[in-house]
Amino acid sequence: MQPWHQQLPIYQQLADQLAARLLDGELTEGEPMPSVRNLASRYLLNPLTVSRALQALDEDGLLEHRRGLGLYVRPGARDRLRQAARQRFLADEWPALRARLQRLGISEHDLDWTL
Amino acid sequence: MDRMFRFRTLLLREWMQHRTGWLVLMALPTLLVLGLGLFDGQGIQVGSADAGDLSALPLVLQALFWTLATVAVALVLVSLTVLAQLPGLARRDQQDRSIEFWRSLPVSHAQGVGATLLMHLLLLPAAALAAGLVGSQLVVLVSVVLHHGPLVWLQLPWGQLLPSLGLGALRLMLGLLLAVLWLSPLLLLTMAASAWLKRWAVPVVSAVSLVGVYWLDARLPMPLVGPAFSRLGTEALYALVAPDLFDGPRRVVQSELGAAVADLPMALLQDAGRVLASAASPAFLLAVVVGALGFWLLVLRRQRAD
Amino acid sequence: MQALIEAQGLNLHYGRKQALDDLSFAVQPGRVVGLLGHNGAGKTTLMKALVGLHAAQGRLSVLGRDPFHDRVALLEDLAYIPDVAILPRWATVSQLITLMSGLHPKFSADRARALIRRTSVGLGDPVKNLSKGMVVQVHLALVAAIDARLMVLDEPTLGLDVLSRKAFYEMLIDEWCDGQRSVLISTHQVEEIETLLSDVLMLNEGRLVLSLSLEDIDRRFVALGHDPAAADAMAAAHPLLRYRVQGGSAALFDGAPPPEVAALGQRLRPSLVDLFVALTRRPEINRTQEG
Repeated sequence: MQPWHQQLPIYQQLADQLAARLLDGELTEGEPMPSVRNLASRYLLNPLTVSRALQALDEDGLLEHRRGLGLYVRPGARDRLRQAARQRFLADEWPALRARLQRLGISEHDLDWTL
Repeated sequence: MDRMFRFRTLLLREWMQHRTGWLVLMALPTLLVLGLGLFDGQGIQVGSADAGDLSALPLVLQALFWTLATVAVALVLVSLTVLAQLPGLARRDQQDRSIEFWRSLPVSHAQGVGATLLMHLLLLPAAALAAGLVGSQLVVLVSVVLHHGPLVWLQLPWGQLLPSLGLGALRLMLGLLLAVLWLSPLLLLTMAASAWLKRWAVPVVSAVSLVGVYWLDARLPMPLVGPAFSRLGTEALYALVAPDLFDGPRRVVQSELGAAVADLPMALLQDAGRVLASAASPAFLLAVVVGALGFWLLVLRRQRAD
Repeated sequence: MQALIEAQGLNLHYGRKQALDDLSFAVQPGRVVGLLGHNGAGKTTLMKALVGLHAAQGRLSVLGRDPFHDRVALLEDLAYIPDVAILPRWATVSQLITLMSGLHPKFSADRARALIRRTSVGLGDPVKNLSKGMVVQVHLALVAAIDARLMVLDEPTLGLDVLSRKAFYEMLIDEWCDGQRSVLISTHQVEEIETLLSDVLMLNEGRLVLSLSLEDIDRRFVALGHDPAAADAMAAAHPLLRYRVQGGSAALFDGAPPPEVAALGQRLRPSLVDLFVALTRRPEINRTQEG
């Protein structure tokens, strides 16, 4: 069964996982999101938890409601996510990484920069 | 969905679970009589010594004999089966815990117990006896055809035999019902004992009966237990076996054959009347009431099953 | 919406033992409620009282009925699995479907067959030939085919292997949870079921020590992960429980701990297992730990 860690509420972890799938292209823009039941069954979670996760994604502007049809992945969601992930990296993760590099005495010459 | 429908499903359950055994029991008397009696049976003595060999009797009587023989075997086998099964039946679903499954369904405890009892004390035995009766005709057919050919079988006085067979079937069913009701205190209290006391049931019931007959009765102003058992047993036996009818063989020897066979339907009806009259008695009512107590104890056990 | 189960001051004596002690709780529609407790805590007794197999004192209303006096009518609207491995062994799956069709007014034979086709069990298989896991799946399929408003499951995954348990939970979510029906599932395998639950009822020695939704649990209980250095400060704040997590220690508090203590640690999600241990420890263990 899916290991859920204790740092974050489960609905948040699910939202993050779904966002990651979106970013990877597994969930396509303009396509319907898997149903609550489907996700609940796949991740073995209570449907209420799944609803909360979808709500969180919705609040982040990644989903859209289509009347009578349900939740869809909003076009442009991938870009939004990528932007948000970039922001996080540049604002939080990179400074921490740079500090670590300094501590270890690694200079830019020691690193492989091929991207 | 009404409760009758659910009750019928409970009966269906009994059939599904036990049909193999009962199908065997339905066929066995016929097979036994066919196998043991017919192909061996040249030397069967009937009635008193001067009646002579079976094959010397008029065919009608032979037919009646085979009918009776098969039905008698059926009666014995069915009685033995019912009695042997009773203690186990009371605890049947408790050993594999499937009682929990049945109790999780919307069926009342009384219906659950009632369906089992109805099926195993009345319906299945009735079916086996009926099968025995039908099978007896097969025995008659084989016997007559083997020794005398098919034409002779067709020439049996069916006009007289069929009513007798029909009424005989009814008398048998009535007898079964009354016998079970007369014996219900013994049957149901034993089952209740088995349900409540498990392995201790048979020893306890035996001990209590013996104490009742030999110790208690001696100390009462009028013995109760012994006569009670005796009465119940006798009434049940009369209901089932109709001994009054079997004055028959003696009358036959007096070669009033035609009259005897023609009288049979009437004799059956009269006997049925006699047996019903016995049932219209306080003793019968008391027996049924005590039987109901046994039923109630079984329902209680099912309700409390943990 | 009206609660599916309402209990007020529920009491039950079992011989000399007080099996249920003054229980009050409610179960709303559309919830998956975990009934947690050690063996002998009263879970089975409570469930039996809920389905009318035990008489209890106090107010108890299940689907609007008095369970003990209205047992048969109640069971027409309720699906109950009292134990695993109680299906009659002599029957085939198909015979069980026929019997249930005739005994349960809300049972759908078609739905049962469809559900069973999704397992590896054949309709003609006798129950006695099935493995334990398959028996449970069949039982659940039969019960899920009942159009009931409430499902009561007493330790349905006991003794099953991981795959069977997973299949069980999948079927439960897929076939049952539609937002209107509720499930009450008892277990002592808390970790596994935690993510499926929306509410928790925690029993300890017949008493209800917790009756909350998981959301409310997250709000009320605070788990602080901390370095070994902060251990004494944590202990001084009298947490419910101190335990190990990946990468260090943690302390569980009922309610917010003093701000200075909170600052020493990182807020974690309180896991149901730890909460369970904290609230249902046996008194003797309590004493030795505080010594």
